[in-house]
Parts: sequence; C-alpha cells; structure tokens
Amino acid sequence: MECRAVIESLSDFLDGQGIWNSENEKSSIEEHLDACPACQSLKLELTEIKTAARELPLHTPPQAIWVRIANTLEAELPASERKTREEFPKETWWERFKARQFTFSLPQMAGAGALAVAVVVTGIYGLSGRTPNSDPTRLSLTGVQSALLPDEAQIRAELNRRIAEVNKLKANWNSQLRSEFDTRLTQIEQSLEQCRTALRANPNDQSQQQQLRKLYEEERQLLENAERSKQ
Amino acid sequence: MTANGIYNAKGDFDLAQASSRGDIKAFETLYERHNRRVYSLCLRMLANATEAEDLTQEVFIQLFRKIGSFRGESAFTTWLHRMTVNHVLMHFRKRGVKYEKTTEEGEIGELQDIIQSVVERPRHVDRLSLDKAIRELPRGYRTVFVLHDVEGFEHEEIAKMLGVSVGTSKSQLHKARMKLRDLLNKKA
Repeated sequence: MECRAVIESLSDFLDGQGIWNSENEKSSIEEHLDACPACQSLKLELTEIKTAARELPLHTPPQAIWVRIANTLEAELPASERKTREEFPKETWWERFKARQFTFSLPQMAGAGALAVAVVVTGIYGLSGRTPNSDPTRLSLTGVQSALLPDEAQIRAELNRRIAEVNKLKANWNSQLRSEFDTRLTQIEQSLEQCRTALRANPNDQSQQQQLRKLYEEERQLLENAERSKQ
Repeated sequence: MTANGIYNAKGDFDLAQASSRGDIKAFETLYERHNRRVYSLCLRMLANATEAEDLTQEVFIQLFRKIGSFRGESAFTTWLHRMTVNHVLMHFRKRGVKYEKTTEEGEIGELQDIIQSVVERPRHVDRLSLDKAIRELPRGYRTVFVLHDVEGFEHEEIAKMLGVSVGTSKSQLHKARMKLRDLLNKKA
C-alpha cells in the first residue's frame, strides 16, 4: 500500500470508522504503518491532536453576560410567576459558620494581628479628625450621594483615574484595538448601570451587590490589561 | 451572585425543575455550573469573542424558556450542548452562511511536503496552541472538528445537523486535522 492511500485513510483508521473492503485492507494499513516511519509519525501527530482536543482549556465568559441574562429573564417573567423566595432554603450565617473548620497557620495569625493593629490605628486617626496620607481624589468623592456599596465612591474614583490613563495610551493603539476596548468598556458600563438600577429598587439585594462588585472588578481588569499595552 | 451551598449541592435536574417554576437563583446556579462549557463551545465554533458572548447569552435565555421540557432522560450537559450547537448552527443559517465544504483553502498538502514535515517535528501538542490553531481553521473544517473531536459527536449526528453526508463529515474532519497539524508545525 502506498503512503498517499494510507494518509487519506488515516483519520478513519484512528477513529475505527473505516469501511474497509476487506480485513486485508486494514491489515495493509497496519503493515504499512509498521514499515513506514513517516506515516507512523503522522499517525502519532494526528493521535496527539485528537487527544489534546478532548482536553482543551475552558474559557470564562465576561461577568456582564449573567447580568444581561438575569435582566432579560426578570423582564419577561410574568409578575405572578416570579418567586419572591427561593425554593431551596438558605443556610443561615450561623449554619455556614458551624460547617467551617478554622485552622490558622502562624503567618496567617501574624497577618491577622497586623490587620487588627492597622484597623485600630485607622480608627484612632478617624476619631481624632485627622486623615493620614490625605488624598484629594478620595476626599472629593466621599460626598457621592448615590453610592450603592460602602466603598463604591473609592472604586469609581480609582477606575476613573485608570480610564484617564488609558485614554492617553489609546492614541498609540490601532483602530481595531481601540474599537474592541471601547465596546468592552461600554458593555461593562451598561451592565453596571443595569445592576445599579436593580440595586436602587432593592438596596438590600445581596446578590446584586456581589454582582456589582464583580462588574467593577471586571472593569478594573480590563483597564489593567489596557495599561499593560504601553509596555 | 454566589449561590449558597444548598443550591450548589442540588443536581442539575432539581435545579432545572426549580428554574422552570421561576426560581432564578436555581437557574443562576445552573449558569455558574455550565457557562464556561457553553461559552467555550460558542467561541470555538464562531472564532469570535463578541459573537460568542452574544450567543452564550441567547443560549441561556432560550434554555430558561425551554427548561421545563428537560425530563432528565439524558444528562443535562448533553441536552444543553445539543441546544448550544443547534443555536450556533441556526446563527450561521440566519447570517446566510451555508455550510462550506472547504476544498481549496485547506487542501491537504502534497505528499512530499507531508513526509518532509514529519521529520524532526516537536512531539508534544500544546493545548493552548491547538486552541488558537482551531480558530484559524476555515469554518467548514472548524465546525466538524469542534463537533467531533472536541465535543464528541458522532459523524452520523454531525451529518444530520449540518445536512451533509457522513462521508463529507469524515473527509472534512481529516482535512481539519491535517490543517491543524500544518498550523501547529508552523508555529513550533
């Protein structure tokens, strides 16, 4: 049997899919593969591709997708069918606490101690009316009235600062990169706005609060990646 | 958004049942469990992140609408994957893109070239490189390769879904593998 015929039948041979005219034909391929290093090597390559294809890494979609899905579903579900409570009972915080086993290593305890000291020191500064490392940006945002998370003003300020930085870099990007970045940022901002609208209607919705945080984190990562583009 | 432990402990069938009665939290848990597989499948078939995001969103909205029809006769994953594939193929049809039997762009190379390139090739197929190379395949090859080698569909199923013969599906798969081999060797 010639190389060309073997190569053309190789995928069928690997998959056990060939409709062989006879058992002899299959044997001929096997014999050829035993005798021909090139075809044998090709067979190994295709086998590796086939094997690797079943173990490809999974990709994670942007967080904003769930917000869009949830908003669509909420909008189209008749009010009468909307569940005001979930079917499966929630664990209470005490049940969750009891279910956990806490073990701390020495460095973790040292870290926790340092954090406690930092909290106490910050508290003392706060009570005495002094602000360590006064940051004008932060001060100017403490008055944001519409914050839906306790630290939202700071998060927003940080993101705005980064957006300003990225805007400077954008001049050096090609149009495709600029367009992709703008589209992505707009999508996140739209999802953020939808999430904030839902939170304004129900400020205690913990699920939306967490969602809001994740979206801010997604925006932060986008900006961080964009900032790296200057390097 | 994190679903609590009780929801996470539930099986897909229970969550699907609760979702069909309007429990968004149950559906969110299903989303958290399966979104990566659905998105990855869309991304591989479409080779375009924006379109993959849009279709992932559409698939889950469609899933919510149809979830009451899931009877648990097959695995939920199988059911969802079939729905995803059908949705992507429908998307291709809507765009007016007919299934293409790629013959020129991805023609298998000359025998001498194949044999030559076998010499001293790297022995290991890197999964990330393969993932990238799949995106570079012509769409006809990519569709069959993703459905057969990545998702594990049989040629008979693929042929039915794409409206082609089993022979065409097999031939496209072989050409796709050979093309991938070329792409991987070029990058190595």
